[in-house]
Amino acid sequence: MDMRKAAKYALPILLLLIVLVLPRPDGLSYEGQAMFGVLVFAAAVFILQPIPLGLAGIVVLILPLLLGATTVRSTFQSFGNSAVFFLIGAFIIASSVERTDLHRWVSLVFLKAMGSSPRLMVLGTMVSGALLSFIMPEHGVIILIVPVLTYTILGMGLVPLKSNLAKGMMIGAAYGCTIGSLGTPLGGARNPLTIAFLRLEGIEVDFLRWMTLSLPIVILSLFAVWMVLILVFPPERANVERARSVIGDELKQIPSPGWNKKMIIAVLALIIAMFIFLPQLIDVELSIIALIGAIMIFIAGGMRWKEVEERIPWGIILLYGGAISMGIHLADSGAALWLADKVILLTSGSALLSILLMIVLTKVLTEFMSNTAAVSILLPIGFAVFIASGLPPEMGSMLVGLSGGLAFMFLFSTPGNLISYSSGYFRPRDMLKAGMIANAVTVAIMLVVVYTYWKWIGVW
Amino acid sequence: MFKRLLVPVTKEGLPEMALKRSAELSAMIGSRLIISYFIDDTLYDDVGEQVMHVLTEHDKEMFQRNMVRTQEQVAKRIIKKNVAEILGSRPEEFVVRKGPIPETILGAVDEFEADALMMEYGSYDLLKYRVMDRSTVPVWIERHDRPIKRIALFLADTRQSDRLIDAAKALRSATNASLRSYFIADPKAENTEEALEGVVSSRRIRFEQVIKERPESSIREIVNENKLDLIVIGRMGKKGYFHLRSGFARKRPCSVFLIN
Repeated sequence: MDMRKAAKYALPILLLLIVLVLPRPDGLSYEGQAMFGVLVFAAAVFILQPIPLGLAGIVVLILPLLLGATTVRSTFQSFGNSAVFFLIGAFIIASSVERTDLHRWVSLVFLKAMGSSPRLMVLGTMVSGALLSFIMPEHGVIILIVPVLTYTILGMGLVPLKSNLAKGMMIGAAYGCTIGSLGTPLGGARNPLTIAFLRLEGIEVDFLRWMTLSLPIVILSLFAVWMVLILVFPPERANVERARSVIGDELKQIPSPGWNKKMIIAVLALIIAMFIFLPQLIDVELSIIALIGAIMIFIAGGMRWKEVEERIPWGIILLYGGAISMGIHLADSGAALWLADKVILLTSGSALLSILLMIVLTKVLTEFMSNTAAVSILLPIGFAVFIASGLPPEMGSMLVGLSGGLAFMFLFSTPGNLISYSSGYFRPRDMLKAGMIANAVTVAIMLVVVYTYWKWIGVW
Repeated sequence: MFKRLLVPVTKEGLPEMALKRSAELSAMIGSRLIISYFIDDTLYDDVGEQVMHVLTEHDKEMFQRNMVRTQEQVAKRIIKKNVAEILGSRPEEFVVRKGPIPETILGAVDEFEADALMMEYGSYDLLKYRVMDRSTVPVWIERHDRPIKRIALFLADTRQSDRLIDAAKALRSATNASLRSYFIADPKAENTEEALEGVVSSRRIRFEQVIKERPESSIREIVNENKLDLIVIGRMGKKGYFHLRSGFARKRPCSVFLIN
């Protein structure tokens, strides 16, 4: 084992030990101190990744138990949270999209509709990525649409690393998926994680409520980040006619959907309708709808069990289970509230500073680690900080959940960035340049939405 | 010489000037023209490894498969058509090959028994160098699409003299251009005069000038003064070769026919 790898293993353990041996501050229980140890350990493991994230989820799950900060029962109860099953159902539903060619159709239709100018083409890639990310996780969308975009870009003869239009389209696709993933609970694992955490704290956020809170941020961010992209990478004059012809030809190549595909699309539409409307009519959890949806997909022939075994990222499920367990123990041990009291001293109880702090902190953390991991660390803290500031705790957790998805700067920040980069059309520094501005712009948008629309609809 | 010309095309863009020059040579001397589209299917391997905590093995394979298939479709549906537009006719031989780019291009040279690789300055500099270094056949690097009227041979290593002189003469007769010859002396070698005499007497060739220092800038000056369209050049020792090559890539004074 080389020194670098050894340091990756040693640093999280060292941090854990340092927190454990430090004198315990007044007002903090042993359990709380131990959970802080777990928190810094988890943050270091999530950033350095000495072990796969799924395994990290298991370690984070059992570590509080080993440290005597929790009981066996509460550990495994939190892991078996209903949101874990929401995620499994959502992954099965999302996997069926690939069979329908819906992703190709949506991407190409938007590109064709917006193909009258290179600038609008960048917007087209963003909007199509965002719309698809409403119904499936963003990384699932990006692996489907990058090949479609590559076809269009190659067909147009855009030169890798030199064409600003290609840069805008490829980075735009990643950003579109990232922003779109905030739109519904299906967009990424951190969304149901937020919902599950709030539910455990007695606050219900259903599908429609989530969309009501997130959509203005999604719409404004899409347009603002599009402006950022076309300013940072002003698209060159491209042969628009050639682009339209390439896209038109590709659209013709999509076979007209047979009975089976139509059935899957109809079932997908029905599942979305169920997610939105069913909780308004009866008392039903999103995880139940997700599992019913998954069964419906099987009946409609959209998936076989062998495919489920291949396609569910079990590592993420384990990470998710560990993360939600850690969040609950941080809250239950009083650690989150203790930290929140200290944060309040820093913000002097100012609502603006508390909101800004949670958004910026989450965005910084999510740039350096998995979105789900960042959100899991900050959810209980955001919740507690908002309670201590006299603000609605739902708002604190929602802000963490939403800003946790907005990672724009680095390739490793989110899989979408890396997958888009693998197309070879932009350099890491291109993404860094656009991402820094996109981060600042989206922080401003979130503040504006929180202070106007969220107030108007009575969130606070 | 020039019985089979291989024009590599990658996603970096269509080498329009190289295609036109190849078509011209093909028409003049009846070369068989092979246009090959190269897809680097190894590009996406690392991506899967780096995001495997989110992507499953299936996702990774699907992504790699779709990226390669997309490029194949573009090559067959669009690139082939665009090549035909440049050549003015359907390419007789348009093939697609997959693998790491430099190795696959060199493999295609063997597969098609090509006599020369036809490339151009511009979009794929890096690729060009990695291929140039290792090519066993001459590499033509096209600079412009004007007719070849003035050719110059630059000989540095006398062990290469037969290959270079034959190539220069073949090009002169194919293009009806004028040919001048220059000798690049190695300042460290003691028997330069002797070596030069040997070439002159055995090949009955007259050198316009013996370049004794700063070969890169001297060659560029000669190119500019004589308005040369093409130079035929070989090895000049590892370091000299590198400087010459990188100097030419930056200044791009004319087309180059490079013999390793």
